Amino acid sequence: MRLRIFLLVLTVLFSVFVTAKTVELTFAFWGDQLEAKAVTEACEKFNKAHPNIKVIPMHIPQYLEKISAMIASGNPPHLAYLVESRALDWASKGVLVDLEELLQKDPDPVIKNKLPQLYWYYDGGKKLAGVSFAAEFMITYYNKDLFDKARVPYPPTKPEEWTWDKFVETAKKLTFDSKGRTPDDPNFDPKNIVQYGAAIGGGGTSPWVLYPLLWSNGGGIVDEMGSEARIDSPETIEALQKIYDLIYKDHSAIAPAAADAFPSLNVALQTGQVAMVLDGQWAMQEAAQMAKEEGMRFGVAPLPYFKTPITGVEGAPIGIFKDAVKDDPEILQAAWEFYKFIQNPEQVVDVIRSGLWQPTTLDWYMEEEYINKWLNPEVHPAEYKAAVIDYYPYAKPYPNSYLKNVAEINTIITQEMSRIFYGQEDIAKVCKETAEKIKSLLAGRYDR
Amino acid sequence: MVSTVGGKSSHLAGKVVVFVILVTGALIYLMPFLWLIRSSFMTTGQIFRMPLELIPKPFKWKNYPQALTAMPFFRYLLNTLIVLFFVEVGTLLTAPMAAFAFCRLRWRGRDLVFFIILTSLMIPYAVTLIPTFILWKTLGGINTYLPLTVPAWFGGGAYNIFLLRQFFAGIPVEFDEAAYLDGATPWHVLWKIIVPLSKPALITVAVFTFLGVWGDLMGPIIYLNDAKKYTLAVGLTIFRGAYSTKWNLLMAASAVIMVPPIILYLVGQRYFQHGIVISGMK
Amino acid sequence: MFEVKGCSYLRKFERKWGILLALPGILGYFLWVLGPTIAAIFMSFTNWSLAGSPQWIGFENYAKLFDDFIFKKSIFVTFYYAIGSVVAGLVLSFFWALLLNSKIPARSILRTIFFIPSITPAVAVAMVWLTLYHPQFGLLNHLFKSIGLPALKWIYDEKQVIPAFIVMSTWTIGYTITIFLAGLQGIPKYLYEAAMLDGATWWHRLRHITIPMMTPAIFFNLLMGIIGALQGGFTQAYIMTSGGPNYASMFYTYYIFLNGFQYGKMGYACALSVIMFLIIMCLTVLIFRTSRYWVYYEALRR
Repeated sequence: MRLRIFLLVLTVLFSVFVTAKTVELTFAFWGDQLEAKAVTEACEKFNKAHPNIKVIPMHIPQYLEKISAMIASGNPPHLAYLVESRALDWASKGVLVDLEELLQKDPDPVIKNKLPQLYWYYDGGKKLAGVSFAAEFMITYYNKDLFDKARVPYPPTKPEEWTWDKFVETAKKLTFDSKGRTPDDPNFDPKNIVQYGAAIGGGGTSPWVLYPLLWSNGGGIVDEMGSEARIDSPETIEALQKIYDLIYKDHSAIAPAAADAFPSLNVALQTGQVAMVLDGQWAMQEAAQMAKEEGMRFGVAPLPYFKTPITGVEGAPIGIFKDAVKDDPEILQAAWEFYKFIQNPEQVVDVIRSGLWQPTTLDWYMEEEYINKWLNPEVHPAEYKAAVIDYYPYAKPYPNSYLKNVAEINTIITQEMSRIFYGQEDIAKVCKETAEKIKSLLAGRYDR
Repeated sequence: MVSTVGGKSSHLAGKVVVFVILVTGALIYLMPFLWLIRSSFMTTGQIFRMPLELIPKPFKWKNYPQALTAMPFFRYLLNTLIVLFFVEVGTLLTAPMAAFAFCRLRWRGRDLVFFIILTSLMIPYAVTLIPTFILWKTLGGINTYLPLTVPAWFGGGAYNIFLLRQFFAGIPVEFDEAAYLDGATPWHVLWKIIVPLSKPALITVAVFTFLGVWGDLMGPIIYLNDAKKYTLAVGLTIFRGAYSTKWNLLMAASAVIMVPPIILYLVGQRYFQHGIVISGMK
Repeated sequence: MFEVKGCSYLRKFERKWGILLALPGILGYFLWVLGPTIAAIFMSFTNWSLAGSPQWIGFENYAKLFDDFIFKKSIFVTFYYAIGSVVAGLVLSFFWALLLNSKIPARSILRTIFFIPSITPAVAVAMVWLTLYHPQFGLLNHLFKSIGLPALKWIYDEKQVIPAFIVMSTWTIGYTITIFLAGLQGIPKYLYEAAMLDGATWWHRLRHITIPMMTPAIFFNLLMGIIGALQGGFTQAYIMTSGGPNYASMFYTYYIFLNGFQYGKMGYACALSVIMFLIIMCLTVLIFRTSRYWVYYEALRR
């Protein structure tokens, strides 16, 4: 009799335990096959380790339209990648959970130890919308074979040594017309160039590469507070002029029109049409693949600089949506658990080792143990650590992560810069008009 | 122009000229397809090598199995066919009905109503996207095929109604009148007389509708949450990442996906003949 | 025969059947179109950004349009493209349809070939044209240089980008060709036979039989072409040029997309859409009204 009661109690307890609520979380993300696979596997790993939480990965193409529809209809996912141009606007409209609060209660070492440039603050810096899930620096890629053939020394890995003048000098030595002459040769034929020394991402109009170059000269798009235009400052104009001269006076960088027509500059690098490319770290994965398939030997170096060595770092954040969590502390806790998990570079190490992403936690840049996990001899060239990993103190975040109306401003900047780099209009004039055009959009920063 | 504008169809010189012009034009119009096919057998690097290289070296046959296994191809194909079936049936049923009513029957307010329906084509998709999504959310249609199939049963879209109206308006009224004299209803006239005489127009609608479903990208993405329910058009997006695209695999998958519409169009041409045989009517 | 003048039974009969048969189409409009259209119009008077709740701001969005230099540029660009691509498209597709209607061998295959670019996924078409238009190594400049013409910058030059897109649009005229082909099938042969008995030349037959009988199809392609072209160019801007250089390819629908989704200014985007909606409506009314004078319907009962 007592045994029966015992078994009954046991059964009741067991069934209560088993039917304890499983919290279901949706996690929306974008990415190609490799990224999708890595993230999905990370979710499965998390689910196994947390039997009462079930994360449902949602891999979404045409991400912006879909996530906008979900948010507008009041049904956002619990966690999601945040499109950079929208992230802080959404946060300031109250659709995101303030992670700073969660962090105060639970100062997780992974989240607290990120690269300082990767935190997305709003509300004057008091609240945290999210942290970037991956980082990308802007760097120089170069084709070692072309350097060897021309007997030019490789670019240095120390940021201070790779000055703009040195960059121009190197580019000139690697630009050849159909008769093998370089731009310094008086008979150089600019109409028949077969190899260019350099290609600047977006031909000079892409914000990713242009902005750090402007910063390195003391210029930029807006001032520190985000309320005044700097696009027409003398430092900016000077920098633009120097980039312009490299393309049109020295003929050593491929003109934007020609550069844009390549779907990716790695192709130009691999086919030997360009010797150096200024582009984002993300191109590493493709470059490594080309190295493997086509035998290209490539190297990496920091970005060249005018006055101060500097580069840009970008990386979209992950956020938690209020409408999905619905003030339920259990769901919020579950979402936070997964947040901490997915932000740990260990969980997505495959994508990091493929060269597509850089990790986001400081440990991975400073501790040998983690650096070894990162470096993949099949992907990262020998100088990668010196040129890229050690480069992190020089990385500055883009206005995407703090400036109000940044998407509109970026569109105007890109279009106006095309007048300089495509249309070859007078630089000072264009910059002045640009400053006028963005004036009404300058509304300050989210984090100050 | 020999048979188009009448004329002895045995006018050989004329036919040769026409044929030569057409073949030249066809080669020009075939270019994007040839580029696609040749790229589908290359590595991504070789695709964009300039100047253009015509022969893949090495010949990467593997692109095709790789592309087709990158997505659950057969499941997506099945999903697409399911949506296609419902959309085709719905459109081919309700669009002729509406076109007939707007063209061969007279009723007050007819032309105004037709114009109002036409305005559905005039407002850009970007701004109706979200309200329509919210509408379907309230109807409970999210993550189902309903938003993709149900509207086809309500006229099949202003484009098709308008198209059929234009074609129906070219058939002489005598046919209708004769049938009405015999006591037929408009339903009978529509399906037993007008429709058989409008084969080219209906084939056109069928093919265009097919292409609409086959290539619809935004619809499935916006309304479906479950990746298992996606269609072929969505499957193609797996090759595009935020930073780079696997062009060779994308081209291979695109080539495969283009085959059914091409076959459909080719076969549909059989019905593109002079539909009205007026002999002894007048 | 069908004199409805005093024949109230027949009038009721036609009306009953008219509404009955048109009902699915009418319901379709009310269910799936009217609501979202009204929502979009309503939203144009708010500062909706998809997140958070919209606030009524009256005509503020419309007032902003007057100062928006990108809006003005976009209208110009879109009309330029629309006129160019519709005219070029209509003329070319009529031409090809006439030829493709001849009794020649491999007719079906040739017709299909002209249709293939319209089936090709937009991304593939964009890539092909990117490689064709490459200023340095593209096929078109290669051809130009070989026959002594100067190389052009194509889509990378603000003056050439729209003409370049117009040329690109003549590739995807498969739909208009098909409609013209279908229309050509509907021209009764006896008309041609009678004309030839009277000794008419091919030009005469074209002008007095083919074209008049094709006016319903021409009308359709013209109207749909304009409605489509004014809302077109999105894919080209999105994939190929991002609206540049110097706003020269900032097509209207692309600008609407940028405002609604990238900038979070959905209210403003709705105002932009309402403007385009009104423009298209006016053009449509105009074309319909004037169609009375040039479109010949065998049997459109008035």
